Amino acid sequence: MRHAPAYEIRNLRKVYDSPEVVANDGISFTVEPGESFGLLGPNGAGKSTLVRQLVGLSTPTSGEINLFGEKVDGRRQAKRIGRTVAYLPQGSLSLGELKVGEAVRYTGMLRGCNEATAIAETQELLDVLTIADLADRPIRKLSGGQKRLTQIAMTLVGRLPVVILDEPTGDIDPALRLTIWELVQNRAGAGAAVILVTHDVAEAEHALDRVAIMDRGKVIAAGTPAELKSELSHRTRLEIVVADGAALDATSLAREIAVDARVRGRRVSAWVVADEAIRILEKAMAMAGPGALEDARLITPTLEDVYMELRDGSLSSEADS
Amino acid sequence: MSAREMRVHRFRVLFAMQMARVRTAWRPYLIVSSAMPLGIAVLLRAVMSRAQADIYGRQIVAGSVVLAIAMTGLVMLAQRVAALRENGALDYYGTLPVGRASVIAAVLSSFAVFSLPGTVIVLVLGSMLFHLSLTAVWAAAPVWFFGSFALAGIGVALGFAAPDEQLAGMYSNLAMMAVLFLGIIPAAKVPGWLGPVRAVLPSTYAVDALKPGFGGTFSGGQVWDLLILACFGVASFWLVSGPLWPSAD
Repeated sequence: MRHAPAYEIRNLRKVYDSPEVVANDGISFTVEPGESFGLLGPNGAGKSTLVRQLVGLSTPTSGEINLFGEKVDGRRQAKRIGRTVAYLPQGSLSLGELKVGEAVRYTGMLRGCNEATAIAETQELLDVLTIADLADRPIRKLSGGQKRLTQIAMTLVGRLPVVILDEPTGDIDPALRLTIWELVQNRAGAGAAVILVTHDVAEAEHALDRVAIMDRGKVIAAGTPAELKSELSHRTRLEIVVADGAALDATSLAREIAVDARVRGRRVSAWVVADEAIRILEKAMAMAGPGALEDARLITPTLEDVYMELRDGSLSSEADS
Repeated sequence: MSAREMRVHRFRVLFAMQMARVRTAWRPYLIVSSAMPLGIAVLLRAVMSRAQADIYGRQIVAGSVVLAIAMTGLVMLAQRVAALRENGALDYYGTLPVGRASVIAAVLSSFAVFSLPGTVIVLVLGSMLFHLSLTAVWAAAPVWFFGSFALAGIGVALGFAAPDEQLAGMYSNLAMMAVLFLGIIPAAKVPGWLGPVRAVLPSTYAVDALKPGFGGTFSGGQVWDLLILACFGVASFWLVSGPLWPSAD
């Protein structure tokens, strides 16, 4: 069974009634053990609806979900999913009466750990997530970020073979985010399949092996971050900031650089053909003259650029043409 | 661990999680579950002659004891379940390898425990107030056990059905009013049209099972009432862990 994909989703469709809303429309993808897979997309793209179906909290209208080769069929499979998949929901943490240490330990025990193992794993996770000193504090007395860290510990305890995290780092400070990504990547390195839902593309770029970009219920692009970025490899982003008080007008400069250059205040941004990027930059610097530019740089496309271009539709129009 | 040992292990953890509520809520549970039933018993005793108290005392104390169970198992549990549903705790349990029946059993068991101190307080002080024999204590044990499960089943169902915690409080207070009036008022004085309502309320059978205990008697009727109470408990348990469990969609 372990040779089967952790998840295999085929043509999944979820439609809510009254009013009719198509939340997921023909979604297909696989996630392998040991892989970290991301679902990217704007709010309302259908990401959370999708993962709720993956963990059995919601029933697909049509399509198929296979977990390690076995079909997931609503309520009847709930216990099997619970033994295999750890899920961090998007919402805030319930169980406010429990203390942090209890919540993590009990979750581990409900997943089948004996008490000694649950205690050891709890201690380890609380140490890594820097909340060991909160172990005896009731959850209802925690800050938003501390609650999120507790939820992450509750998700990771028990070391299940699949981990699904829905927007895990929203309330977490940047330094601790890196720790969480490291923790998640270690789980994938140890053989777990990790599915991450996020709209933080920068994080996704270095934390994920593969991503699917969703919009309006559909997967509009999928691949490794490198594969997706190659969609834009023929282009380079030129960013110029005109110095405050310079005689040069940002709008005139933009017109000289590219027809579709964008101007925001003193900042000019444009996608240019990669082979001509240096020539265009030199032209802009010559036009501006010494001291007129505060900043000028050429940027290789990032996953965020791909995401933004897909969202705005320009990449898909290029593909269509 | 065998499958059976694992079920017991998981139930113990779920029960411990529910009992954590004691840390923050034991005072309100104790006060609410005992103050109102006791207050009603005191009020009725104050307006009754000694002769009336002798006639209606058993009914009033038995009704007040069952009301104490209902205050916790029905009113407070309905609000608690609505809150659990609202804040996503049901989803939390839904993604763990535990059955709904185990979750419901843990919730019902914990609220049965929460209702125990109030039940004992009302039983003892009510009996003293109406000069009843405390031999009823033994009769109260099975009534508490079966009655709290049956009433808590209704509490869970109301918590599932209510759109939010506040409405769950309103629904359960309406149900509690029925328990109060139909439990404390003697059957002969209840208007005929309320008979069917009386017949479908588990509290009726709890009161009827408890009353003879104050005289130190034991009859087949009590066993029958307890059996009906147990049936209510089993039926409500099945309903709330199955068909009435709220859909995530």
